[in-house]
Amino acid sequence: MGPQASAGRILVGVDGSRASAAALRWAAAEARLRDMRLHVVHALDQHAAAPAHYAPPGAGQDAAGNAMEVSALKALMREAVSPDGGPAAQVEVVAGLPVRVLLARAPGAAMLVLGSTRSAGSADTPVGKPRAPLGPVARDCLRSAPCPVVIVAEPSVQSGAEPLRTDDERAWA
Amino acid sequence: MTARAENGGERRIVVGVDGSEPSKAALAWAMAQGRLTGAVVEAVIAWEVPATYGYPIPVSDVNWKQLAQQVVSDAIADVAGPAAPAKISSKVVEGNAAQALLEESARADLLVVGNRGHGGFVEALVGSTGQHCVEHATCPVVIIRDWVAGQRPEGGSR
Repeated sequence: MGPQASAGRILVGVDGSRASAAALRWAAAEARLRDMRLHVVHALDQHAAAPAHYAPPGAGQDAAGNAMEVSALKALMREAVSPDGGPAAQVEVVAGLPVRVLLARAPGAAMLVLGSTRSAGSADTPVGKPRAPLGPVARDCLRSAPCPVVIVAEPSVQSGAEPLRTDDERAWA
Repeated sequence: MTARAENGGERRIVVGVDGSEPSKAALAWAMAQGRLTGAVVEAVIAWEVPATYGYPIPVSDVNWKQLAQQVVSDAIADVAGPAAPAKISSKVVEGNAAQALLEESARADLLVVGNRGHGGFVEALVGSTGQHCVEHATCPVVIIRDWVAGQRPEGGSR
């Protein structure tokens, strides 16, 4: 779609979920493969869990919360993107509605990569019975993004390389 | 892309084809991706005998499977040209398109679908099908909305 810059860009939205970490890993591999730039966007929806607008300034830990997010994001970038000489990456932390933030950056991107928090299960669920519907961000991006959209499922329990492990191992041993 | 070790090391990209433009764009994208990753591209088409209401229409002399095969072959020829460079195969499945794609993609690295398909004979392959795939597939799903620049065969006019 559209005249795409020859040095392309892969847009990926991250929100701190395991699914979005999987999406970031997939996008990083794809960026390496295509010799493209990785554009990592984390939208902070300040209305989601912020103190009321009439609260006195500094009442919430908004700034601290953001800092946490940023450090987590940095750790994620180190873990998911850099290990074996990752692609050129640009990280953006933006205040705004995630859908709007992502769609604003989608034009010109080779693809938009998002995680889906549904658990990757077996493929034999009967047709017409959604096990877990797509989240609103992914759904709206699917509908409106001008570029290909890649939905990466949350890693299945066996391959999950992250925190929830002990529980999972107990449950799936 | 995550290689699926249990799959004998061969990477597979499954793409849903129903002859619609978005599905051809999806096929083109899948083939480019296949060239890039060395994956085998499998073009899957599903067909069902159309539902009839009230009285049966004579469908016994229609070879639906062959028609479906023709659609997918034409799409491949259309997208790839006469000499298909990517490793590509096609598969005709009787049944529901979403179900077929999910089954085929269970051992794939990637599933590619157009954002909407035909209604009618070849089944609405995407749209509802794409939605269903996105919600249930175990591998990453790529939804192609339109031709990606440079992939449209014979000097696309979009």
